[in-house]
Amino acid sequence: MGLLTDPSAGQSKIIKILMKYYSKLCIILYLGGIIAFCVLAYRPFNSETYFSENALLPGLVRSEYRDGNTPHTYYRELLDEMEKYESKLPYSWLLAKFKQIGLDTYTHNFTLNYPLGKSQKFTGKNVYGILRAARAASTESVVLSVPYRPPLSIHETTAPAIAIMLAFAKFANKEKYWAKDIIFLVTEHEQLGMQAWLEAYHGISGGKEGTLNAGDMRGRAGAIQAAINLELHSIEIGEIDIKIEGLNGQLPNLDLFNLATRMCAKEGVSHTFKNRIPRRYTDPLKDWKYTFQTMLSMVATQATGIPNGNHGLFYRFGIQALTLEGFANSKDRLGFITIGRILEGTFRSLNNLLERFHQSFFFYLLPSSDRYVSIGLYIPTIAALAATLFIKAYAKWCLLHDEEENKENKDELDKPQTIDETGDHNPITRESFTLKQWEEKLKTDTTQLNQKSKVHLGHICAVFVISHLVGFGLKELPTYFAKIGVQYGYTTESSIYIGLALSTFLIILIPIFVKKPSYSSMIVLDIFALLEMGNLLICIAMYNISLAMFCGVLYIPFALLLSPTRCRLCSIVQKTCWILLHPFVLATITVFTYTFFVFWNELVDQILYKALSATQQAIMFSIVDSMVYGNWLFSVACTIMTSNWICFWYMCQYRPMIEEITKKTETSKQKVD
Amino acid sequence: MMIIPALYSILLILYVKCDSDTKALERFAENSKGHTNNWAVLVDTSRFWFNYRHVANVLSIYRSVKRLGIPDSQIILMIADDMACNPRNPRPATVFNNAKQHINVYGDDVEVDYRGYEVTVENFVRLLTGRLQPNTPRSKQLLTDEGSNILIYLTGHGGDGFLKFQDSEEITSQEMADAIEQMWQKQRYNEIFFMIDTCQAASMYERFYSPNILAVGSSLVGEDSLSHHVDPAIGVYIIDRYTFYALEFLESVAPNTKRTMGEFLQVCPKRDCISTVGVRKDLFRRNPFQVPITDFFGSFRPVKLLKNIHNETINVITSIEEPVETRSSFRYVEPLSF
Repeated sequence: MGLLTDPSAGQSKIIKILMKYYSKLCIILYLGGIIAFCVLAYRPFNSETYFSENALLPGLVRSEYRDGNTPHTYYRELLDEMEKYESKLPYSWLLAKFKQIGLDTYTHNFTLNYPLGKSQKFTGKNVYGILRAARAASTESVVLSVPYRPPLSIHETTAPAIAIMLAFAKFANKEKYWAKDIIFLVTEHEQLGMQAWLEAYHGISGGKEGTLNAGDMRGRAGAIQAAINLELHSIEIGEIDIKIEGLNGQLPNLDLFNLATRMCAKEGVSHTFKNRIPRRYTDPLKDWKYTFQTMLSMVATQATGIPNGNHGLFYRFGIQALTLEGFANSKDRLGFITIGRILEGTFRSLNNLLERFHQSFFFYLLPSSDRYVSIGLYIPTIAALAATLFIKAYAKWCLLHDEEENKENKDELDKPQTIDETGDHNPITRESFTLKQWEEKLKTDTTQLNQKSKVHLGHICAVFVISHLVGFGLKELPTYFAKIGVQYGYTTESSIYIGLALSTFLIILIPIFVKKPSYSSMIVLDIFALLEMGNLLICIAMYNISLAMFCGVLYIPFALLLSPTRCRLCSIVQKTCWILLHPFVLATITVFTYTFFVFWNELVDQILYKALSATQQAIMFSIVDSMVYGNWLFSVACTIMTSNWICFWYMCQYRPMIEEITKKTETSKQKVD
Repeated sequence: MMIIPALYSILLILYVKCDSDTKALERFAENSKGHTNNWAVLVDTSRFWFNYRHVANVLSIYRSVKRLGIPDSQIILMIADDMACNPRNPRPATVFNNAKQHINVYGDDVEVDYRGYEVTVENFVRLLTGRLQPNTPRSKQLLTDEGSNILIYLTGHGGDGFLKFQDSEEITSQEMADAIEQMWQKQRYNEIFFMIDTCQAASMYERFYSPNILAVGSSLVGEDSLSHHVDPAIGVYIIDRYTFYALEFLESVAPNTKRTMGEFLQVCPKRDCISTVGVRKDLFRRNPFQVPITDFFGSFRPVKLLKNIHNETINVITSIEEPVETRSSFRYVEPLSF
């Protein structure tokens, strides 16, 4: 602040130019940032992926897996078993198979105390077998996991994956070259089982304490270096999709992704990223369009912060992981042997690792499975976006400062006259005003106004702090909403939704009636809010560029334009836009539009009903995610984005007096001169 | 009192008389050209499984020089990692230098003198300069003299002006040059053949300023040295290009060969090596084409012509003197009791 209040600060030439062109600069930076981000998908602006880790030795070894019968036998047996257990893991069969193969076999029990509504309990059981590396100490391990899906599950079956996992375990157990233990893991209840297993393995809790009771486990195999999550939906695979987006937008090390693509390519399996085959067009525009769509698809998944597979939960524990999802297609029909060879190659490479993945990129965007955009390239684009906020804040500060300076100068000029005036201060009636007297009155009034337009820092700080407390409250409230709602017979999701809707309504309503001290105070609050938003964007960009980009593109233009205004129309437009941007409203709108796009051919009332329930569920799931898995999206949306929103909202409620506006424009004109 | 055990020993003395007028001896002395013994210092500086090829390199050279006659006692072998016992090795207890797996270079008679974390810059420089701890075993000492021809072979990961040791430290080319100068001043060598297979290998010998050094590096500054081929059964790059072709040459060499160092320096032209093999001859006084390859890779075994040999047994100890009882200057005193 010392530098900002330095009286000489406003005098520099650069500052003057900045003050003159800041609005244009903001527009250029905003549009430039967005365009640059889009252009990153264009081939010349990104680079080809490469292996950075020497130790991996990817694909050097000749695959020896050539047993197609064993997985088929396992698969048939498993299908028979699955008929007996419609919604549960066939534990006994799996345990028996693991033991038969010769692995150290264990089970792991977990309980979920459902955090919302009625206190319900769900239990689950994972099964895992550890292949002990015969010639090495059990200090490191790699994981091969499959989420088990019972016949009643809404997701596609993964039974072929379990069959090939068992066959691979049988094959691997005979080999003597393992330097790391291999954990073969079958989890129950999708991501919940995986999260519970990881928490139990590491003895910590990722979400809210007491929600997910992961329990303990008897068998461990040292630090997990990497994990492959396998989901095969058919015994004959046409293509493999590699999934990487994890919790809170975290990604695995690019070397692991490269390893997976290399292994698929080596075995002749067509691999896709976001279900899109790496394609190359000669027409640059077409080429860009294709890669940009792939990148956008990744951005959309990453921005939600929800893992799109069981791999996404490993990242919190510093374990690099990805999901290989195999689909059947009409083109290729590759059997178990190919998958077994891919697994063999991948695990032998992982076996070669000497330390955790640390070489290649952890932060990147993929416009195609063989090209990447590194953090060094995408950070400037979001920085350009955030810079507009800082520039605007600085410009506002300078304007305010100049105003005060001018005011002081004016006071000095006015002072002798007012003293003269006070000398014969007599009550003047309205009728007897001469032109000169009018002038005098105007002068004294404006000085009073000057007094009034002082910056009330205490007030601003109070608003700032209270808005953030509201944000924190909003984060904690849903649990209570659910409890109250359930007592009155509402479902958990609708009681949370109604509760949040009510609080949003209050949040919108209350600032309108709170006293707003002065125009300059509002400007200072605006500066605070702009700075906070800028910082928020940069911070989010550090861990989840997609979310930051999404927020930046959406919020920045409105945050920049938002200011107290006398123009009624402007004010109404401003306020409507800003209400639409309230995180809660925004979430509702997004899900509604999405539902409309997906079910566009159904009846309107049906769509509305579907959209409403989808919104309710989306919000409830984001809360449950934050409690069980430690997803940050809901917390960030409540504690920072909503709080920041309130500051802007409060600020734009102020209706300035004409003098304040005119004076401001005058001063700014003076400066330009 | 201590009892000294009885000691029996037989001393056998060779009584030798030499005639100095034999012409054979003169011819022999002429041939020796000042060097009387051969040593080899073979160093692999890198560890980790993916550097398998470096161990294969150094063991291959070790095998060759041993075959050509340098005894184990005159080879200092430094290997930074144990590839044979690495759990990742699908062929335990072996190291191969070719995908055909003809030769297990980690055979029965490999004597590794410095291994694992003993392979450090300090130990290497101490070894060369002879500034070792007094209790250092003989196998870890380079016991050379002014008549020694030394082959120094280094392999590992290098850069411009340095060679990395163990992923944690490096020796610079200047340190290397100074160590060799110290050897020269201490009369620890007659001639050195310095051979290095690393990336930017030529940078390591550029700073040399001591005489009688012939140096060859697998690549020039700014070039990478590349590996030759992969063994898909083991899953690693199995040998480096330069060493592969150097070995190919050495395999054709027998101890009584006429091949010269000059021919050896022409090994691995650019079309084979991809990198350019660098040679430095300015410090070397002889023409490499007149230097037999066995001057460095073979061994000069000192042979003395002996005449009139008598075997005489003298002074056979048959009886042992009784140990003389020493006068005790200390006495045992009973502890005082109260």
